[in-house]
Amino acid sequence: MASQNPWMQKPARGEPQPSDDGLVVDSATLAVADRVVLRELSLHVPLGETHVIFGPNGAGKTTLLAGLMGMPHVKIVWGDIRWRGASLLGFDITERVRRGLAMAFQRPPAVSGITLRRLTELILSNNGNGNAGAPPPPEEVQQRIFTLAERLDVLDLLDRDVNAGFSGGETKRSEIFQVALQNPQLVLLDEPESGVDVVNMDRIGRMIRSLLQRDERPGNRTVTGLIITHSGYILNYVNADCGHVLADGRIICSGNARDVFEHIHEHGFEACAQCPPCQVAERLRRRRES
Amino acid sequence: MPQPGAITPEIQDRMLEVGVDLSAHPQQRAGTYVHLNDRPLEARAEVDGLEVMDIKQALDRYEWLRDLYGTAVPRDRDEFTRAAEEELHGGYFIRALPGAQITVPVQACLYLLTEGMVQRVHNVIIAEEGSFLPIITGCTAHFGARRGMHIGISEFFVRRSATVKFIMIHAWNEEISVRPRSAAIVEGHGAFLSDYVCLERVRDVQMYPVARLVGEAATARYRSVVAAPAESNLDLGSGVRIEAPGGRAEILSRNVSTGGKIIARGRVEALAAGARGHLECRGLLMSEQGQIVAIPELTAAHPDVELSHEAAVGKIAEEEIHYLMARGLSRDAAIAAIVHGFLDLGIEGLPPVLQKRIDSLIALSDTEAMEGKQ
Repeated sequence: MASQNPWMQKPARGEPQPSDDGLVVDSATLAVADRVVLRELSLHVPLGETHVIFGPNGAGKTTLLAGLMGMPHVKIVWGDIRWRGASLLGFDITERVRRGLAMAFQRPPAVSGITLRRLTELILSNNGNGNAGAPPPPEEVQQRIFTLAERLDVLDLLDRDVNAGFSGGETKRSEIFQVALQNPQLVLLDEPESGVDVVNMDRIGRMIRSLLQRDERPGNRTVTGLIITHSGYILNYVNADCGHVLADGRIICSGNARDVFEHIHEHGFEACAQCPPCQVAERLRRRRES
Repeated sequence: MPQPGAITPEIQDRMLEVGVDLSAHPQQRAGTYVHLNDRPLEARAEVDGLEVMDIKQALDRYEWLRDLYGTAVPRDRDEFTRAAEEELHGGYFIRALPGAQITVPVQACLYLLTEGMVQRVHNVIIAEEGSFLPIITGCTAHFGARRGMHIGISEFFVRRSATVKFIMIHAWNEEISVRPRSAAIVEGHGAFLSDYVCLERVRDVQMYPVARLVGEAATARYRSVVAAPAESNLDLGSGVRIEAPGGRAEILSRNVSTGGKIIARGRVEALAAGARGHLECRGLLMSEQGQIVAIPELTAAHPDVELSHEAAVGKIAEEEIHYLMARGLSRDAAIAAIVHGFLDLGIEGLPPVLQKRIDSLIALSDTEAMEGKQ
């Protein structure tokens, strides 16, 4: 199935320039507590594209996002992670946010004593991502919080402690709300649909679609996305450019996101191992060799 | 060194740090009491229905007060109560007359000005039936008075359907010992709401205020926000004894150690039907040198009561720090936000300077110790 996918064949934008080639995971080996979870994993998400990662439980999907975000419990023991041509290794979480990364957590921790409103005020007073420049005036901060909170139906959550007693849907809405306020360039979403009912899924799905500029012409998209999904519901809202299957600590298949998902749905993850080699990994391998 | 009797700008600035503003408009403070070293300097009420005077004057004026005096905190309770009575310097008498609704706080300051001074005061607060009485008390020492001792007896009488909202802020110096002895007696449908804040270094504080709920459906709430920098020793507790049906008790404490020792005690005794009590003690250890001991006690002496407690002591969860960093905050800003949030019990009316005090507290913390324990 993967060999027929249109993403692999589109040449119109040509090879991305090395200085601006989006997210590149280059033969990265990631370990948690001295245990290798992902081994020599390669992945390329060109600038402006959104890719989806499927995989069975325990495949290392969340570890991959945590490693990209710079969570200290994930160690990059080999390889490299680059964003827009520059290695992210050696940068802490805050520095990666400053470079445009933002992540919606699957199970974020409750932070006692800090309301969602206070956290979003801190985000906006920091210009969303910590970049230099005068923060917006307080009235504008409140207006932006209110507008987006209303759109994502989190007004009722604003004065509650972050994630404390939030339901599944509330947690996901809150996460997308915060990430949207961060004005990110690379959005990492860890199972944004898990634990979400149908009504909330619609609201979250539309917001993610907007956040990732999926209604823009491909050449005009400036936000890059990487979404981990177990159920695949997010594909009903996000026309992802590519889907990858992560299993046994590596990408075992890549192709059109919906095709990949349907294949998994029909045949299970085991069948993915029979697919042709991932062309993205091939392209990276060829570049390294040259 | 300022002379006793003169309230210099320096003293006024220090008073501001504990919420006492001598330049405040009567619309901001309903009354004022100032006690410097061993003598009262100022006592005045700005609104009708309120009495503010020195305790000695009040004892002279009201014969009935002599019978009341010493009934909540017995004069011979311990060496400190005895010491206060043997050589009483004064103290505040604050009384809201029946039905009086005091809308802005009465402020009181007990100020230790001179090095080596042992200050002995005895305060009596009475909220007569149906009244509402908010008070903010700042107890502090001049920066030049490194050594000294404060002994403060406080007796609260909350009459039927009355409410006392009491905030006490301590800001002492490194060689000062503090021994408050406090008790409240709350009658039916009355409420005693007490908040305590102590964020500065002090040699030692030992206190265990207790409220007795003697009338039906009375309420007592103690909240405390406490920090112990290195070499501070704080042995603090609050107790509520529910003696009449339908009483409610709540004790909440937030404790941060940046190197000092905190013993956080709490006790709820439920002796009557329908009593409800909750006790919550949380501690944050921000240094390997510090220590926090939580000692919650619940006593039920009637089958129809509900009592609960929560206690948690530990360091800041790394997961929470990383989460806030993923929102663009630096590690230090994330820790600061978490500590501010931890210490925020929603106490209204605190001076803004306390926020800065929390920041300097965080700066004193042993972040290396915290980072080493991921």
